Amino acid sequence: MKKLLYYIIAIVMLMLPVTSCDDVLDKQSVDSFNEQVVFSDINVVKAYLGKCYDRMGGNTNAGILGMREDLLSSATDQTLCIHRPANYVNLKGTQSPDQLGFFASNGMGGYLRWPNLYANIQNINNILANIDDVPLTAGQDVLARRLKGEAYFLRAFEYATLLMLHGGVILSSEPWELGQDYSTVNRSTIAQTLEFVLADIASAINILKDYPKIEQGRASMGAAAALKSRVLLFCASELTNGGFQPSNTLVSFPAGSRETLLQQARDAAKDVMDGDYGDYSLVGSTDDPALPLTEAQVQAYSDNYYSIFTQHGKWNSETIWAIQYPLTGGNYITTNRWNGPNGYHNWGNNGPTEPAVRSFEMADGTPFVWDNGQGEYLRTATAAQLAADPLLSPYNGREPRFYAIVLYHGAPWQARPSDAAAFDPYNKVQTGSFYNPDGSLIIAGVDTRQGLIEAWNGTKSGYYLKKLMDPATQGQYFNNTNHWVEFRYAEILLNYAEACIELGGADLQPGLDALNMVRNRAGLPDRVTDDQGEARAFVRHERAIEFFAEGHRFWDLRRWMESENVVEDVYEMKVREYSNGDFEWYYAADLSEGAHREFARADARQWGGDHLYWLPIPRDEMNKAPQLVQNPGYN
Amino acid sequence: MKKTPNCFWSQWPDVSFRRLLLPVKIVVILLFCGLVMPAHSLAADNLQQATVTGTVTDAATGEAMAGVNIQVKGTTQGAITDIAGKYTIANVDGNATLVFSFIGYVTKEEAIAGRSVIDMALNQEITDLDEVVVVGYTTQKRANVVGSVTSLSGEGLTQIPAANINNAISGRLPGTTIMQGSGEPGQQAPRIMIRGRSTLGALTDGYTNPLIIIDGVQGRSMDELDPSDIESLSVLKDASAAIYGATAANGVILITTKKGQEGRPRLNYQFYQGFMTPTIIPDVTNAAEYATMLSEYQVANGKNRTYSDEDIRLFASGEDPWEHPDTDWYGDLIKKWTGTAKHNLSIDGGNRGMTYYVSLGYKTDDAIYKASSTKYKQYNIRTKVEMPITDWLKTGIDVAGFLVNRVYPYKSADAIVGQSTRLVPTSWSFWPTGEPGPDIEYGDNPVETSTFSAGKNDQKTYRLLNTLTSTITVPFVQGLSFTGSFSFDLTNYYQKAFYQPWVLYYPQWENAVRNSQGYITSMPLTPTLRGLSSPQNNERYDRTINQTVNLNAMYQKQFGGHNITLFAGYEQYTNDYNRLQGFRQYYISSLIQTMDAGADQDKNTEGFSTIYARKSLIGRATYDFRGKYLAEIVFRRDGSLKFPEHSRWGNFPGFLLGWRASEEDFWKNNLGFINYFKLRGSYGKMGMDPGAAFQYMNKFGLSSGMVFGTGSSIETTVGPPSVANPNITWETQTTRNIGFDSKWFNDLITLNFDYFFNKREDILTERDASVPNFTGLSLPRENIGVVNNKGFEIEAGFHKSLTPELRLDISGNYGFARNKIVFYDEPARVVPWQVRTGHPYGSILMYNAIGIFENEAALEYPHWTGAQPGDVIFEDVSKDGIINSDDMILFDNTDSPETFYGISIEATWKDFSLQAQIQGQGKFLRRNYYDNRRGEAGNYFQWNYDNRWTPTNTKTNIARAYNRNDYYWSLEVNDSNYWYDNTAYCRLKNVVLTYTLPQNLYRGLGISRASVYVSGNNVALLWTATRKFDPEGGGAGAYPLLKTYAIGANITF
Repeated sequence: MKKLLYYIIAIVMLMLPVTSCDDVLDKQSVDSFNEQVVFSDINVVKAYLGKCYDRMGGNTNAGILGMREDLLSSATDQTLCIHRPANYVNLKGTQSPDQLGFFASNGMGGYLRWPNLYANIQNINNILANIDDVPLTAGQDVLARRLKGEAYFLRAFEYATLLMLHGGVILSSEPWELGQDYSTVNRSTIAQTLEFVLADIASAINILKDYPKIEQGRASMGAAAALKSRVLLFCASELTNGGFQPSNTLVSFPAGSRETLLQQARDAAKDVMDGDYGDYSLVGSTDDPALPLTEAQVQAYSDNYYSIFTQHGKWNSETIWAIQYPLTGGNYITTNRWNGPNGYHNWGNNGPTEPAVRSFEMADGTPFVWDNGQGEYLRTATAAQLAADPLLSPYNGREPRFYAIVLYHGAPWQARPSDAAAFDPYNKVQTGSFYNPDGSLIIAGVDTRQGLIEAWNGTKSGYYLKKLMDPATQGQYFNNTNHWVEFRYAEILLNYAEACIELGGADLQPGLDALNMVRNRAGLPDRVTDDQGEARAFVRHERAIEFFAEGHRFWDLRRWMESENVVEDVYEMKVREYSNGDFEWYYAADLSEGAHREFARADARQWGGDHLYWLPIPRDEMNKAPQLVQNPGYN
Repeated sequence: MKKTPNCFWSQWPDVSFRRLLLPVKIVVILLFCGLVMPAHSLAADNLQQATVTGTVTDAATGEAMAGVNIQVKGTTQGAITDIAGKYTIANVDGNATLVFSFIGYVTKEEAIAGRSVIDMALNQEITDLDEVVVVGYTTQKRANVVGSVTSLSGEGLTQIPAANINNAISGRLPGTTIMQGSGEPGQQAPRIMIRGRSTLGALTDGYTNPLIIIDGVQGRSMDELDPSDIESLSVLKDASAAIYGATAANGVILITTKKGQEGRPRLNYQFYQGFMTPTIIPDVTNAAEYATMLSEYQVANGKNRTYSDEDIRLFASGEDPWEHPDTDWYGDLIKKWTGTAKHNLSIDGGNRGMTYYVSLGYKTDDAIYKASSTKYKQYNIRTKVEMPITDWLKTGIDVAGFLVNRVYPYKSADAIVGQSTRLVPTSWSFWPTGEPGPDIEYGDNPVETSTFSAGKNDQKTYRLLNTLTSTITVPFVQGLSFTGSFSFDLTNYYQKAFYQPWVLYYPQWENAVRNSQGYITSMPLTPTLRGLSSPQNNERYDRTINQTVNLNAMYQKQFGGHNITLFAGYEQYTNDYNRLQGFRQYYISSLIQTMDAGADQDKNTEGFSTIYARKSLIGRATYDFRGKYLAEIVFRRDGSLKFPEHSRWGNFPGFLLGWRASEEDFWKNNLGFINYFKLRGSYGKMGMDPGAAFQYMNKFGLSSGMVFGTGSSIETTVGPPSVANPNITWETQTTRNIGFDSKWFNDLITLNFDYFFNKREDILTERDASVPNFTGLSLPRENIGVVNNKGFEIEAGFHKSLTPELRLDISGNYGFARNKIVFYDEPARVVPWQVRTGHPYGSILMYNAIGIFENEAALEYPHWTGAQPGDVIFEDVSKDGIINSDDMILFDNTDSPETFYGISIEATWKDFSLQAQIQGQGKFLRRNYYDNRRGEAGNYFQWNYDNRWTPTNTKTNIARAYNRNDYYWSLEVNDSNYWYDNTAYCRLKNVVLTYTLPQNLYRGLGISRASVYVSGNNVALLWTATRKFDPEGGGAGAYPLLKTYAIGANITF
């Protein structure tokens, strides 16, 4: 009997570990949570919306919107991506549903991508579908309503981006669910898409107008109004109004729409200028400058312009909406490392091209002329000639923005890191090389591809992009903390100017006035004309310079259908600095073999036809949804 | 930091030759004693004649044995035991040896050594049919195993100088592919696959990993296991694995560690000291070759030359080391030889049913870097005690502890070894005066970054594995027993990575002193801090707790030739993982490394945790009739935390049948030359539950992303959600296996064969084709994929004692497995040859390189814009005259080799034994470049240089000099099989030559057995399809695989 008792005790003890446990299979997740949690607390919804900001523009990397290693401006004539030039398929004539390059790669581009933009729209639709049911405590309704307004803005932004890339797209204001029938879904017309975007913008403004003082970085009514101005100007341009496939409603508005669209674009900008959405103004003086400017004045105008892109903390009055970056944790950008010269252990990407550099005016507002009697490839000056006429150097006497945007041979920049200091006794950018008067090389510039530091990151165009870099950041070690300005007041002014000029007639002069505000702020004199064509050229030039490297050029070239005129091979701008003070600047030519000159292309480019103005729907998507109508010109 | 010896191990000598000395000393002393002392006793007893008597018993039962033959060795003198097991031999030379032999028992020799009474216990001869095989929860005799189960005893593994046990068993287990990726200390865990792949999903996610069970417990590390502690290892390949149900579809590896044997204490000491050297080092061009090739590229593309002809001449001549170095980066980084060592001391014994086994192990593995920085050290202890409490209750305690220490420099092996193939030879590893030269970028100068000057990453793993077991043998019911066990495994991982800027030396060209020829003779150098802006510290704690509870009942019954075993059990497994990590930087000095000494600014903390749990009901029934007809049913019902309630539980049955045909009369009469033949067949269903838990809900994760407000504060964000699969459940695999085991000509030859067909369904994969991207849904993995996997294994052996002193055992195995994707919701493809369904998993889509454009005329063949003579020709597969993405085709054999084989040879001659394994794999394509920075930004491989296309060498299959990011060579857009090599190979994997020292050398010292050996691992590549890099390792930029030679000893007291 006693033995039996032992058995029972033993068996019970064996059972103990099991029975004393809770059911181990019924557990809450410890590393994640579901939407019930998200939509039970408005603060979590806010955090979810924060993620939607994060993914704006179809982003998947740390950088948001235009701030990335391979700039959108490198998909234009302005700058050259040296590391992955093959990815800019729109400049190679190879863009196709199978080959979207920058617009498809998961790597350094990775934004403006069809799947990512739609993924974020899905997130936003999720929020909009559920936000009204989130239980609120007293006072939280203020936040809840604001978040809804922000969500409308974000959705409008994503759809506007899709519109500008692809034309009319698939529209949905409800989140998609698994198991739905997707096979009958198709693209809306571009007009319907615009309507959808404008409706979201109206919803955003309608809510956000009640929140004038909003947290910096969150969508405001001003941001929504600026988006409205941008997307309307895009739609009012040549590309979508008879320029390409006028009868295809995916990419063109009905005949006769343009006038109305231009008026809408004009009015949208004007509303912002009138202060309806907040007090915005250009930074710096907008008085017509008294010419000629002193060197110090040029520098002051330059610094003022440059400061827009090196803002930290509180925004200035020109900034309508921007993205901020922390030094560590979360999203990060390393603009200085990406774009800075190799002689600073940076990666030298996105260097301006010579044609873009030539497009900067002189300080007095006259066009820069390269050819001073030596042809389009070569320019020389002896030390004595330079002393007598500094303007013999192509880099002297240029307009103030030039000095804020371009790092050229001889430009001042940061102090060199200690290991590079020995190579740069002059403390200036060295995109050229140093020679003895007899033509023998003393040393290749430290910022060239023959330099002694990480030469493969040296510029291929002969320039580095100064704009967007922060002079206070040591790029080789640290992230950047200066903001990316997505919407600024200057864009509103130039949007207005362009809409007015395109409308012509009585609108022409108010358009030029707005244009001149931007010029005057940059230290340049007024443009005066009553010829619409000339005015058009003025505003297009101004946009190229004012928004240099900000990405606008990508949209502008397409809506103006200008690409075929500007897509051309890129060559390296070379500089020889002789020890006696003489200089030689030459482009698209190689003097290293003495009299023998041969061309060394930095990047072969080729325009492949008007269909490239639109991105195709990616092959992958066409395969999954064969009912979708592809953009014209693509199979 | 004050160096405190916090455990006695840290006192062990550190330098490899000193480490070697201690055991060598022991051996030398033993040998010396052995030689001298018996000689002394021999002299005294030399001519004595005596009578020897004794009793012979069966070692297992203790019963007396009649009829045992006893012979005086080398004479005709002898005796036979009587019915009581007794014998008497008169007039025996006192120094003679008696030989005891009896059919079915192991022959034993015993030196008389002057004794007059010699009792002897004989052991029954264990043929491998009697060998006990672990089959999951229970053991079976080999003869009764019906499943496709491979097993291996731990013996013989201990002498192989492989840091990871897996690399010692490679090629020994038919149907098991083991591929070592790296020789880096502490990173040698190989990729293991049983019968290839039957599923989709990347390797890194562990979707193809077999289940590893050590002493019945899941979640224990095989990598750290001390081979000396391994009793046996079994691999379940077919339906027999169904006993492990939901996690068994990739096969199961079962390892059992040693336990004590009853008897007096037995002390065993084993050690080896190994010397390691790289197998193959990828060749790169020297300075003159590199400069030549770069110049060719630059000239061909109208670019400025970086190096003139004069430069090239000087690179070649070496007369100007300051300005024209010829750096062998790899050679400057690594040393020719480095060391590895292992020691193990164990003691076991027991009496009256109580047994114990205690072992201590130490293992160390050094880097091949000259700097000797990277290090792996492991200390392990294992104790197993079994004790009877009453005659019906037995308990066991099993405790194992591991202390694993991995130390690495700041830069990874990839940035050290890989970069050594990339760094240009025209730069300086060291200046002629010895200082480390400048970096290529990021402070990368491997000769410096392989040292601790940039700080170190010190990782410690503390593991404590505990198991308590109780077994009740129910006395009223014969054959019934209950067992309960509880395991509690705790792993703590602590990492401290303190990094700081390091010093590299930069030239001051303007201050150089030059000789009359203009060459620099001396130059001041500027020491410069590189790599990091300030010291930083990253500390991390991980804790893992695994708990396993198992309760089971076993019933065995025999009647009239029928044998029945019934087993039923319940098991519960839980896993709980937590991580906490902190980061600070801007340390005032790298001398103060505590967390608090870092600045407040930009500090960061992170945490992470996961849970997992499973409950299972387990059953097995076996039946056999006289060992002739065998049947087995296994069953498991599993519930997993990963799945929602309604799809949480799954049932996994297995049915196995065997027929030992050779026991039938007709066989014996007609096919007697096949003395053993067993036909086996099995069918079963198993599961796999890969991936993260809680995929059945829309999961939001946390991240810190956006910055809001004028204060630029980082805001925590949530999402984006991964869409739920509310019905997520197991992958299920149906396994069919048919095979036979056979022995021919009286065990002379063995031949075993297995054919299998696995069909894996419900594979978790995205519904890729059906859900367009415009929905923005991030698709969940759903149970929709189907993969077939077929193959076979052959195992053949030859076993013969050629002479009484020479025995030869040769066995070979060959496994083949080919998988085919049957369904994975593939989107439509434009061209049929890009359809992946029907191909094996992992096929790579790329251009087919069909040669090199010989000249301008050859460019008539379709090509990309900008192609030049000397560029790779991509096949125009679509025949449309243009090369675009339609011309890419799928290349198979890029995921893993389909064939894997091994040959084992064991030869014993007198006191010598030789053990060798040959191992190899079939076609397997692997990239032959390390990164895409070759050209201006990196050195070329020698295979890019030799016989490359030049204007004067046009008929070749090697392309012209190229540069990494030129359109044509941008690997992002032009991946082609030009960059891939077949890595099929056959290598002499392991060799061990052992000499057992004659017993008379050490009798009297208490030593019962002593042997010494020399051994090797990765000894030689017998054949390989590519010699560019080690075909087995990780490729051209990976830490090299190492060839190890070792000497060692094994002494039992």
